[in-house]
Amino acid sequence: MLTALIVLPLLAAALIGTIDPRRGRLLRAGALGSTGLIFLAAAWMWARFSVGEGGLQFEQRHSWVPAIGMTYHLGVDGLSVSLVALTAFLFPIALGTAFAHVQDRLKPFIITALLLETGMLGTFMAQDLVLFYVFWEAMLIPMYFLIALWGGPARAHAAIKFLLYTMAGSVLMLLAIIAVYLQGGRTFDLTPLLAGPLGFAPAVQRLLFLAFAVAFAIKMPVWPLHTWLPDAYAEAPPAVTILLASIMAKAGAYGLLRFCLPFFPQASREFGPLLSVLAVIGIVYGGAVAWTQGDMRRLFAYGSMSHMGFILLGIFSLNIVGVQGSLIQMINHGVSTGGLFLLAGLLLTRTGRSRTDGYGGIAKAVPALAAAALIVVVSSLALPGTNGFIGEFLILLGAFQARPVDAALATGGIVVAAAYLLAFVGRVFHGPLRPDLSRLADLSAREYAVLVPLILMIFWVGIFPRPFLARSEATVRALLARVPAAAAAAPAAAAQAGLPRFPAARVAVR
Amino acid sequence: MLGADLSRIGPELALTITACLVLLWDAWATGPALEADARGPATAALAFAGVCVGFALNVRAVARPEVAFAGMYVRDHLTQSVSLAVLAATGLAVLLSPGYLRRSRLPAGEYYALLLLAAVGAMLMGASRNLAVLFLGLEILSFSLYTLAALARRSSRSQEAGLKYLLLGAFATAFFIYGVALIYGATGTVDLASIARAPASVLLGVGVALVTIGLAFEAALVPFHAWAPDVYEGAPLPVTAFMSVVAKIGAFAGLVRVFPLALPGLDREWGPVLAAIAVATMILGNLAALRQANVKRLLAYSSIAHAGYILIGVVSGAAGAAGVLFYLLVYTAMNLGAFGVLLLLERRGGEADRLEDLAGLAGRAPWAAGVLALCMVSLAGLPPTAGFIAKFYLFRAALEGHQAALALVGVLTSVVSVYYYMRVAYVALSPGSSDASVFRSIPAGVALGIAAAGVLWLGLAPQGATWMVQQAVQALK
Repeated sequence: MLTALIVLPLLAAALIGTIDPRRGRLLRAGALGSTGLIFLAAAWMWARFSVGEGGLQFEQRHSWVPAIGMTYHLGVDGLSVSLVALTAFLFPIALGTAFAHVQDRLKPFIITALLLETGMLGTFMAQDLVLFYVFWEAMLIPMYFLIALWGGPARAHAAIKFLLYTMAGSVLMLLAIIAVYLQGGRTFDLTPLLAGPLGFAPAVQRLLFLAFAVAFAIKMPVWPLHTWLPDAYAEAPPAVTILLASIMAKAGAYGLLRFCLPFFPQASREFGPLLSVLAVIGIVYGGAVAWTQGDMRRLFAYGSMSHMGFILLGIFSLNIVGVQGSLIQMINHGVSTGGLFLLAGLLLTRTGRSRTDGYGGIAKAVPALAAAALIVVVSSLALPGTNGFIGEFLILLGAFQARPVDAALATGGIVVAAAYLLAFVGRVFHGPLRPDLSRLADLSAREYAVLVPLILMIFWVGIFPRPFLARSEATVRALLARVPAAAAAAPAAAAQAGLPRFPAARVAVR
Repeated sequence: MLGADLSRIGPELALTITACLVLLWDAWATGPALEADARGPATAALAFAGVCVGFALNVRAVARPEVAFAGMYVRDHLTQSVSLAVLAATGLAVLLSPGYLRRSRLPAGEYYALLLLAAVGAMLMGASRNLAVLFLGLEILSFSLYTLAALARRSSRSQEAGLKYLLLGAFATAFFIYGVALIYGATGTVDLASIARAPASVLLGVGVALVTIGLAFEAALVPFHAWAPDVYEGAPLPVTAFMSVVAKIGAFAGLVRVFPLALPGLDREWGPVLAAIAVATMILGNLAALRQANVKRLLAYSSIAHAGYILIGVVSGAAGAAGVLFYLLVYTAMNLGAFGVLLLLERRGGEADRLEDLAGLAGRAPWAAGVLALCMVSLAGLPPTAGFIAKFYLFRAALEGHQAALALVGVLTSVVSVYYYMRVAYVALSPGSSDASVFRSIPAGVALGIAAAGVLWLGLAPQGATWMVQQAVQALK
C-alpha cells in the first residue's frame, strides 16, 4: 500500500514522459489525474487507519542492503498518517494553480513535481534512517530544479542558497545517523533501534541531538537559521512556494518528533527551554518582519516562519496537549499558509504585481476572490471556528503548563499576526478601487476547484478536529512516555499534570 | 604450469591480444586515406569485443584465491572487483569514443590499442601480490596514458599535456621504484605478504613513504596533484574521461593492496599521514573546482576531490577498503557518464568544454541533459544516486574506524561540491543557446544509458555490489 503511494508518482512521471510536450491539455489532465489518484489512495489509507493504536500501521519491511543493516521499511503511525494525506491533498491543488503560470516547459515541470511528491511522501513514511535520509535529500533535488528553472528573476541565487543551506544541515545529520547506527546494534531500522534506550553518554547525546535538530530546524525554519527562506519562497514559482511552505516545512517539524525526541530524550529535555525561546523569537520576529514587508510573498514567508514557531513551541512543551496541538497545527499550517501562497499566486498571475501597494480595493472587482482570501486569512490568524484556532489554542495550553513566560510572549505573536494579515487584506482588497485594476477577472472554475477543498478543510478542522486528534493521540502518548520526566522538576510536573487534564482540554476546544 | 598460469590471467591476456589485433588491423587496413572515416568503427568493434571477452573471463567464479607466476599474481575477489571496474570503464570509453575520433581525426587504431593496454596495467595493479608486479602494472598504465594524452598530434595543448605528464610521471615512478628498493633492503623481499610479517624499521618506513608518493601521483592526491588539471584539460576529451577513471582505479587498487593488507602493523605510522593527505585533497580539490569555468578543468579538480574521498576508505580498515572498491565502481559510471555527454558536443574548431557551451542543452538533447544532471547529482553525492551510497559507505567506515575528523571534512566539502556540480546541471537544463552542436551516435547513446542505469542501480539497489566488495575484502584478511 505505502509502496504504491511512492511508486505511483514515479509511474505517472514515466507515463507523462512519453506524452508529446505540445499536447498541453493532455499533460495537464495527466498531472491532475495522477496526483488526484494518489490523493484518493492516501485518503483511503487515512480513513482505514485504525484509531487508538500507537504503533506502525500499513507496515512494509524488506531487506535492502542486509550487509550494512539497511532495510526498506515503510509505515505510518499517528505522527505521519495525516501528514501523508496532507501531502497528497496539496499536490493536485498546487499543480492546479501551477498551470496558470507555467506555460514554458510544462512537461519537465510536471515530471519534476511528481519526483518531488515521491520524495515528500517517502520522507513521512520511511521507518529506516538511511531510507529516510534518501527521501529527505531526494526531495531537495527536484525542489532545487523547480526553483532554479521556473522561478523568478533571482531564481538561480535563491535556489542554490536554499540547496546549500539545507544540505549543510543534512550532512551533519548523516554523520549523526551513522553514530546512532554504530551505537544501536548496527541497524538503521527504527523499530529495533527504538526497542530500548540507546545509552549514549550525555555529552554525545547532546551533540547528536544538535546534529539532528539543526537539520530539521533549517527546514522549518527556526530563527536564526531562516535566512534562506524569504529568497526561496519569493523566487519559487507560486505553486512551488505552496509545496515549500506547506509540506517541506512540516518535514522539519516531523523530523523533530520522529527522531530527536525518541532517540535523545534527555537532550530533548535539556534543550527544550532553549528551543522554546527560539520558537518565541521566531514567532515575534517573523511576525514583526512580515509586518514591514511590501512584497506579498515575502510577507507570507515571514508569516509562515512565525507560525512555524508555534509548532516548535508546542513540540518542546513536551506534554501531550502541546504536541497534539503541534501536530494538528502542522495540518493547519499546510492548509492555511498554502492557501495564502495560493492567493498570492492568483493575484500575481492576474497582474504580475508582487507588491501589496500595487493593489487597492480589488474586493469590488473580484468579490469571490476577496471572500476566499478573507477566509484563508482568518484561519491563518486563528479565529475561533477555523482550523488555526484549534492548533494554536492547544499549543498555547500545552506551553502554559510547561513554560508560562514563553507562552505569554507567544500569545503576543497572535496579535502581531492579526496586525500584518489584516493590514494585507485592507491594503489589497479594501479602500478605493484602483482604476487600472477595475477589469480584473474573478475566480475561474479551475480556481474554484482548487480553493473550495482548502476552505472545506479549514472549517472541517476548525469545527470537527476530532478525527485528526484521535489518529495521533496514542502515538503521542507513547512518544512522550519515552522522554524522561526527570531533569528539571517544574516542566516534569507540568507534563504529569498535562495528562489527566487532556480530555478536559479537548472538550474545551470543541 | 604455464597453462594454468595463463588461464588465470585470462582477462588481461584477452585485452593484450585484442590490443595487438587492433594494431595489426590498423596496419593492414592502411590505404590512401590514413585517417579515413570508415576504419574507426571496425577497430572500435574489435576493441569492444575484446573487452567483452575479458569481462566474460573475469566473472568466472573463483572459490579461493588463485595464485599464478610463483605467487606474484593473484586472482581473488579483490582482483575481480578491480577488473570489473576497469573493464566497465574501458567498455564505456570504447563506446563513447568513435564519434569524437572521427571528428578530430585521431588515429583510431593506436587509440584503442593504448586504451586496452592501459586497462591491462590497471588490472595488474589490482592483482599484484608483489611490489614488482605492482610496478609493472603502474608502468604499463602510465606509459599508455602518457601516449594517449599526447595523441592529438596537431594540438599543442595535447602535446604539452603528454610531455608534462611524462616528465612528472617519470619522477613519481622513480620515487616508487626507489621505495621498492628500500623496502627490499629492509625486509629482503618484495612479496607483500612477507613484508607484512617483517619487523618495522626506519628503512621500511622510508620505503613505504616513497611507494606511497608514486601511487599518490597516479591517483592525483594533494600535494602530488599539480599535473592533473593541466593534463586533463590538454588531453583529448575521451582520453581525459578514460584517464580520470582508470588511473584512479589502478592507483587505489595499489593502495588497498599495499596499505590495509600488507602493512597492517604500521598503521599508526601511515594512518595519520594518509588522513592528512585525504583532508588536504578534499579541501583543495573542492575549493579549486569552485572557480572553474571550463568543464573539463572543473571535472579535473572534481576528480582530485574524489580521490580525497576514496582515500578516507584506505585509512578506515576493512569496511573502508570495501568502500573504496564500491566507490571506484560508482565513480566509473558517474564520471564517464558526465564526460560522455561532453563528448557529444562540439564547438567549431574544438571541444565544447566551456560551461556556456552547455547552455540550452535540455532543449536540443533532453536525454543527454538528463544524464548529465543525473551524473552531476551523483558526483555531488546526493541521494537517490549511487554517489550518495558510495560516500555513505566511506563515512560509515570512517566513523567506525574512529576517523570522525575525516568524515566531518568529507561531508562539509561535499556541501561545497554541490555548488559547482549543480551549476553545471543548472546551465545544461536552463533555456539558452550556444554555438556548440550536438552529435548523436548509437554507441554513445548506449554507453550513456549504461552509465545512467549504473548510477541509478547502484544508488537504489546497491546490495549486490555491496556484497561483492565485501567478499573482495574478506579474501584479503
